[in-house]
Amino acid sequence: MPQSNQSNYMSLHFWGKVGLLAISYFIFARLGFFVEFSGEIPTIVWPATALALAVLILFGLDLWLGVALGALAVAISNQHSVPLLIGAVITHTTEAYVGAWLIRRLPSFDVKLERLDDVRQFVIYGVSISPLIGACLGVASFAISPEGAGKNFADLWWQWWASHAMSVLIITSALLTWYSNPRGLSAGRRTVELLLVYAVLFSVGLLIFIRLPFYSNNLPLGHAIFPFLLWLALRFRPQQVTGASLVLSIIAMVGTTQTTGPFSRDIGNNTNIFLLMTFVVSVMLMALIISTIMTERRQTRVLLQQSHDDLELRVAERTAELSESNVLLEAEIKERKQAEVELAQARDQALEALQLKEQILANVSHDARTPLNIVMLYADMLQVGEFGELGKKQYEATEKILSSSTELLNFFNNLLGEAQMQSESTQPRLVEIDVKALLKERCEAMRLLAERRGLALNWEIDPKLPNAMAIDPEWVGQIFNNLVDNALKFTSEGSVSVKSFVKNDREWVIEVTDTGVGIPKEAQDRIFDTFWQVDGSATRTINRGIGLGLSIVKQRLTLLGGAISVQSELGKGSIFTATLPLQLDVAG
Amino acid sequence: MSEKPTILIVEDDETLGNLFRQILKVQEYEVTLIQDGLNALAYLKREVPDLILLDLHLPRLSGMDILAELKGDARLAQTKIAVITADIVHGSELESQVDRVLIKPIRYQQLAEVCEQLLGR
Repeated sequence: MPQSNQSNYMSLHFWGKVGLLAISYFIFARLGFFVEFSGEIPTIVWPATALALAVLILFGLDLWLGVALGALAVAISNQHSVPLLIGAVITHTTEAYVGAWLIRRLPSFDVKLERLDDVRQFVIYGVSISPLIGACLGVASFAISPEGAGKNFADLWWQWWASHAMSVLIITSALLTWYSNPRGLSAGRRTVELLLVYAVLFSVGLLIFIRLPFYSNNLPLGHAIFPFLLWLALRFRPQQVTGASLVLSIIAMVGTTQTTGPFSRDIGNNTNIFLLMTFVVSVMLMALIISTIMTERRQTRVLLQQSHDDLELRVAERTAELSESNVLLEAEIKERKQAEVELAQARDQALEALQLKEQILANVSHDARTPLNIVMLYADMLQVGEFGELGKKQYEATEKILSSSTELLNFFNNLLGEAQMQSESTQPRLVEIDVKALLKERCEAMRLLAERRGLALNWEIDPKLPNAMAIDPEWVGQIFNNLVDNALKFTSEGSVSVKSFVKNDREWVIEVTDTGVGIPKEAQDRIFDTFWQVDGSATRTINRGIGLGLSIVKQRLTLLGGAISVQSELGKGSIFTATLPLQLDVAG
Repeated sequence: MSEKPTILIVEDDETLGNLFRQILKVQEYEVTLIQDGLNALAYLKREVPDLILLDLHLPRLSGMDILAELKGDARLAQTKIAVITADIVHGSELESQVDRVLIKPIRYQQLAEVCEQLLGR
């Protein structure tokens, strides 16, 4: 990469490299002169330019000084005139500098030449354009020099370009690839194969280009190296191909200059050299391209394999995770099933307890009725004088026995009602009766209770109520009893009034008004809850009831298609309004 | 009517049964009290009362079983049956099978009236 000139030119290390390059350049240039050529330029092989380009690409453009010094040394040793000397230094330096600059500015260029893109760029900039510049400048140099006199400048231009292009293709590519990996002869498991193919290839090269036993007439056997070169190109990397190309080119050059091999025919030395050049360039470039394509394919395959392996690894990991979460899930399902079983057991137990409660409440209600019947019948018989005439006080006593019994009966009915409330099958049992008579009878019965408490019970029953209406007498009686009983319980003085009337063509109403304690606003929603009481404390002033009455009223009314509402003011009293449908769906 | 109507009371509680009998005797009925189901059934195979007041919960044979046994018995075609029970649920179910269902507690006046109505007096 470009470095700061200041630091470079100050460093001994840099000048060492410059010197080394200059000396190498000079030696490489002299090597070129071994190939005998009698064209417009002194030699058809110019390894010095190939070296200069490779070094500038690899180590940076700053080393152009080494190229310039090397070129100067070559020019001096060739005893050029001053103009040609200056022109030659400028030409060789510029050629290498521009070529290296063009390649180095490519962001993705890799000297390993293992991608087709790298080969393409190397061929365009290094092999084509860089020598083109050299050829142009070289022609110009000769044009201004005495040595240019009598030269064919077209041939000069062409020979310059061709010689430099071939040198760059063969030598620079080998230098670049072998510098990037100096251990190019070691190809891992295929080292033996590589050495074998090298041995065969070079032997074939020696046989074809230098000496073929038993034959001495330079047979056109150049194609004989194709299969072996193809073997190399298909199985190995560009580095191994460029290496082989360099060695083969040297063998071919040596043979051809010694007038042996397919390119030593009787058609003139220059032509032979040119034919060899085109042969070498074509064959080597093709081998390089094939090797590059194959290498790219192998790398793609490796990448594919890697991503395939990665994928498999990920799949395996994911599968492991999945089976782990599967195990967890199964455990969770098992737990949930267990919980479900427990829940079902708990539900069964709760249902059992509910049934047991229902049974106990039903039994209490049932078993209490017979003794209660006895109590009430005795009181009735006392009242009718079955056991002799009663005095006023005795009669009052029987009244109290009866009203308390009625209260007790109501309580048992509520207990049974509560038990039935839990049972879904609870349905009204409809009978067509005269509800007016029922209510009157109930009012009469409750009057005794009211009087016992020192309260008045007034009732007003609308004569417009139908004479026959399908109702559940038990339930309607229960609703009535609970509303009145409740009103009596919570009223210490004043009266309780019952009004029953037809509200509209669909509904009728039982309305119970008291002058009692009233119900706080916040409690009005809750008084219909089972076992809920306005004052649930142990020291409550009104110590009656267990909070069942109103909840049963509400439940019965709901099942009958009716509703209950309450209006109340603390200290002034309450109005409970039960609304029932006139036409009950008998099937319901 | 020259003869007193006959009533069979089937009630396992002795006190209550006796009370029923006492009340109905005052009303000029011929009353028999039986306290268990088997004896009641045996009695009904022999006699044909005008009215049976039948409790449901009885020792040895329940009121329901007695009703089932007597079903379709031509001898008893004219006999009225009133179930008197504390069992609201079973009592209500019988509403259509018998002449009357009364849920305990039953009052003095009510008992007298029901008998009067059923016996057409």
